[in-house]
Amino acid sequence: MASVAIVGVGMSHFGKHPERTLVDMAGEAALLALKDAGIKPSQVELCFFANGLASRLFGDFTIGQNVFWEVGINRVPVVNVENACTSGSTALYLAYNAVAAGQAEVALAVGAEKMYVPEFGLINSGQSELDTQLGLVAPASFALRAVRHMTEFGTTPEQLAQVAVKNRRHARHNPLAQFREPVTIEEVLSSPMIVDPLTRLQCCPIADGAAAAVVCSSNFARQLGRAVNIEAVILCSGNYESPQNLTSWETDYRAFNLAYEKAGIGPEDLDVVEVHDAFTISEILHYEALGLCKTGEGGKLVAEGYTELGGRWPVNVSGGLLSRGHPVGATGIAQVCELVTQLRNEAEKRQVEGARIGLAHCMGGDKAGDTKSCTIAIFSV
Amino acid sequence: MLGSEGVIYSYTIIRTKAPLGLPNPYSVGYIDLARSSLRIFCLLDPAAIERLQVGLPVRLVVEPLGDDGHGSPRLRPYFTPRG
Repeated sequence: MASVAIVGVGMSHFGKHPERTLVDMAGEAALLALKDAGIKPSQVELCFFANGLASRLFGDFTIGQNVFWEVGINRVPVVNVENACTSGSTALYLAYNAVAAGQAEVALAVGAEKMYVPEFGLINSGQSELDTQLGLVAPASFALRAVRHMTEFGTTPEQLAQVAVKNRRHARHNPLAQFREPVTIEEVLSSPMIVDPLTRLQCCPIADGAAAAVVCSSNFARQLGRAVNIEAVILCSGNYESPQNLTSWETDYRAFNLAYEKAGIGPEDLDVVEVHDAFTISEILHYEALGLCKTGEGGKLVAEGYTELGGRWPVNVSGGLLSRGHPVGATGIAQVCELVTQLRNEAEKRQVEGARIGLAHCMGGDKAGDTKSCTIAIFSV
Repeated sequence: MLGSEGVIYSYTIIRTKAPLGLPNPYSVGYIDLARSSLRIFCLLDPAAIERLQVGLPVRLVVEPLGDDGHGSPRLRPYFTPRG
C-alpha cells in the first residue's frame, strides 16, 4: 500500500443559497481545491462525487459527471457516492483506497448538497423502512439516546446545551459557517422544543454547500508541498443486533478502535477533532466512544471546557454541524477541509496551536437502533 | 410468542410537524419486551405523554392513531401504559 496525502482542499460558503445550483457550488469547491493543490484539472485521474438527497429533492442523479465536466475534467472514471450523512467521508474513503492501491496518482473527492427547498421536512432513514413508517425521524433517534444517557448517567440539559454554545463560539472565527452568532445556555434551552429533550439550537441546521479534497500519493505530494498525510481512513457499518445499547454505541466504539489501531495512535495523541455533532447528544456520545473520557462522563467533559479551543482536546473548532449546517453530502469533506487547514497551521483565529494529528468522524443512517455507516479519518503532519 | 408486554427503555416526544398523518405531538420509544431479550422501536400512546418515563410497564395495542394523510383513520400498533 502506497502512502497517501491530501494536497488541496476547498469549500463553498455553507448556508442558504437559493440562487446557486448544486453543480455550481460543487464546481466552486473543486476549483478551490485544485488551485490550493496547485494542479490542473487534467492531472486528476479519478473522481468521486458525494450527494445524499438530490435524487429525492430534484430528481437528479449521476451528478458527478456534470460537476467534474464543469471544472474541465472529462474522460476519467467518475463514481457517484451515496452513504447518507457519511456520503462525503465515504468518497474520501474510496479516493484514499484507490490511491493507496496504485489505481491513480491523483484523485478528487467532492461532496455537495442543496437542502433549502420548500417543505424540506425532517430527514428519515428511508421512506419505506419500518421504523420510518412507525414515525422515526432523525432527531428522534438521538433524543432517545439523550433520554437514556440522562437517565443512566445524570447528564443534564445544561451539559447538552454546552455543546451548542461551544460550537457556536468556535464558528465565530469560521467565515464559511452558516451561524456565527454566539448563543448562551439559556438561549439554547429556551429555543423551541423539537424532540424532547432536544431544542432547535441542539439540532444541526440544513444548509446548501460543497467541499472538495485532492487526494494523491505521497510521492506526487512531494512536488507540491503543504501536504497533510492520511494515516487511516476506515468505514464501518452497523451490527443491527437487538438489544442495542443506546448510550454506548458499539458501532461507534468499534470504528474508533479500528481507526486508532490502523493509525497506531490513541486518544492521548489527538490534537484536533471534528466529530459528527448532528445533535448535541451526538457529540457527547462520540467523546466517550473516542476515549476522551469514560462512558457516561461526556457531559462533564464539555461542561469543564476540555473540548473547547484552548482545552485538552479541541472538538469541532470549525463550529461543527451545529453551526456550519449539515449539507449531507458535503459534511464529511468539510471536516477534512477544517483538519487540513488546522494541520497546515492556516486556521488563523481558530487555530489549535501546534496541531499535528487530527481526526474526523461521521455517522449516517439509522437502522434497528444502530447507525448504518460510520467513518473515521486520521491525518498528520 | 413474544407477548405484548414490556417496559420503556427510552422515549421521546416529537413536537415538529408530524409525518404520515400522525398526531401532533406524537411519541416513540424503545421497549424491552417482557418475554424476550429484544428491544424494539415503536410508537407510544400520545394520550399518555404526561405519564411516560423510563421503566414504565406498557402493552401493545393496535388502534386508530392519527389518519392516513387523506383524512381517513389509520390503524397503527403502539404501546400504552399497563393498568
